[in-house]
Amino acid sequence: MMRGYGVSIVAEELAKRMPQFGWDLYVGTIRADGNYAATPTFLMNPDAQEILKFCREWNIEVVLAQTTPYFEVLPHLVGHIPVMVYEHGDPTPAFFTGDSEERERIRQNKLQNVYPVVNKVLASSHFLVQDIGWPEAEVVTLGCNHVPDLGLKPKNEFASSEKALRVGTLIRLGAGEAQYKGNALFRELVSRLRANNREIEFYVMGRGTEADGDEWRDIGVTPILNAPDDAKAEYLRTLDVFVSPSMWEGFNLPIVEAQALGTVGIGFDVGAHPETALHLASSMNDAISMIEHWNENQKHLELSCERAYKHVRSQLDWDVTAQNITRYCAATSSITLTYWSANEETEKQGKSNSGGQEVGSGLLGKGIRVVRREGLIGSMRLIRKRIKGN
Amino acid sequence: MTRDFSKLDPKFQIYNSTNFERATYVATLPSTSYTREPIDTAGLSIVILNLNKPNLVRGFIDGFLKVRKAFLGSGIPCELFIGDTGSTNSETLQLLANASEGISVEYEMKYQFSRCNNELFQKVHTNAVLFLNNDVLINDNPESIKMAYDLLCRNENTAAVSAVLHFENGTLQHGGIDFLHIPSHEGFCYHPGAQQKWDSQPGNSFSMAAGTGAFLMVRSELFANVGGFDEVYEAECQDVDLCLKLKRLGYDIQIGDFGRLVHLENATRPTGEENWKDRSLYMRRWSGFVSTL
Repeated sequence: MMRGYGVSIVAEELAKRMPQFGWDLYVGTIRADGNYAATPTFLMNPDAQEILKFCREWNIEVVLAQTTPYFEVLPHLVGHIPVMVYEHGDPTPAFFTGDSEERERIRQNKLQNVYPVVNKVLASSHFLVQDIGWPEAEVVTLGCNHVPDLGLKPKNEFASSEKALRVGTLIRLGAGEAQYKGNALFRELVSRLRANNREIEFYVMGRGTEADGDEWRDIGVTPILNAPDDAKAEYLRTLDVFVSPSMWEGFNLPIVEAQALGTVGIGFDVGAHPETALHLASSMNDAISMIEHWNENQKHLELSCERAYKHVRSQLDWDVTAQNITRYCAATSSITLTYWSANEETEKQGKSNSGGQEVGSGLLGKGIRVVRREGLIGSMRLIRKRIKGN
Repeated sequence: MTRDFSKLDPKFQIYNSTNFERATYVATLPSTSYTREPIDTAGLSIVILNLNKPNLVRGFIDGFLKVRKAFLGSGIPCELFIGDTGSTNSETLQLLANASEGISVEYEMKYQFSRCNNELFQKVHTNAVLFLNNDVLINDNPESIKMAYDLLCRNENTAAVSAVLHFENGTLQHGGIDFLHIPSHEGFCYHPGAQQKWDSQPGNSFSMAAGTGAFLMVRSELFANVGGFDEVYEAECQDVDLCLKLKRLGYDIQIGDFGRLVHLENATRPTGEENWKDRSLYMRRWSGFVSTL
């Protein structure tokens, strides 16, 4: 559970919201930076014995893994406790030069050894169902309402004849993920927009060194380095146009956050952007035509921001995510198991076969969600009754 | 409700190519297509693609001459660009060879709706362009073109104008394009009211998200800015895609009722050809956006 990782946001939001549907959620993680004090978080190795021991002690009913290396430990838990995968995906291996083979191996391992044996595979977008190669996966989308609802922006906050258009992105500034995160594409966008629109201001926010920042300053882009998470919402709100130059996204929380904060978000037609970016650019020209137009027409910029805001606010709700997850938990937890009687065998099976703790430069966050149904059966019944009553 | 692609008709393959293929496409498209000088000459250029069909050619040339006369009478230039996509019919070739002033013919074009129209658009210097099918019978209603032009010029927020079109039996062929709201086709485009009785009110106009490419008048500068018709579409949806790009910028699309204007639909293309690749691409790009309209 670390700031700056989408999986941490997912875990935090589900932990907050699942109790209303009769379930408690406990989070197991390899690392925790102390930023999620309100979420019950436990340091936990990707080790079947350790996980099952925890499950026994806390009366856990379902284990839900959302990243490597916890995916790889799930086959060792099968038969002892219901297990589910919640996939947020892995970037296309071909984007990586140094470790593409290792990434492909992890992908193939999941296809051959994990998905076929777990009780359910969930994915956070329809794109991922295709991208992970598991058509039986079911979709549970993420939400947007973890960022504050500040409403539509007042007119005086938009670019105008007195105020330059502000175009920005969130990006990992290091070289490791540059290709798939589209750093070069954003540079090209800046360069081409600069040619005809000298007044536009460009920003990048992300983790990186001063040297990384200098590379952006050199082309006239203002870098905002290593800002605290709470500065992110203010940044996204302040922009007029958010651009995600990424070439792969399993969902893309930042573009959803930007839209939920009242800023129009442009994503290219890759990954899950058709599901999360209302303004989908089919090409660089397409993105430029939108930005140049909104630079000239404040009224249309306002309309576009309004559409984006209303769209994500009405479509992507963490309560719906939590409700759907609990629905699958309920279905999965009813599976008959050998559960507590198989401890000895589990102990013999040892640890995850993932072989690696991290892939790339830390992009694979580490989290395992361990779900326990609330002991109060009455509250479950009450919830069901209420639903029927509607 | 979140969009649920899993309930779509399986023929819609929303993610019909790998992410790497999609990313490669996005990142490698030519970066200079349809970048042009500003187009600020007030006037109208009509662009028509044609293959054989001498009766249609005679009709739209005669119709154009009437249209041009009306435009020139108002001091507005009007020209016609014909893209011939391989006619072999001698009568057609004769008609094209003898075309009057104001008419230019581009021969030996290989038919692809988007590409051919985009290529002809490169010759356009007027601030409005009308993409017109050869089987829209403007000769029977030449006033419709000037009415459409006036409607386009009336409001600067109007990016494009399309027309109410009729079948020969008088029923509606096109009255604007709307989007389906049924799980199997959520967001797919269709012609509402098609083949039904239409109570014509000439001069009336209304806003829709998109209009047909059979009669689509667009502000030239905007057409250039959004990159013209997207040539990735092989046969379908390119007109809706264009209108939605204009709509997405913040503009309005107007449908005008200019009186009886017949469209002999499918005179230009064999019937029964459904291009699911195009339809799937359209759905991937636009089903989210159209849900906000």
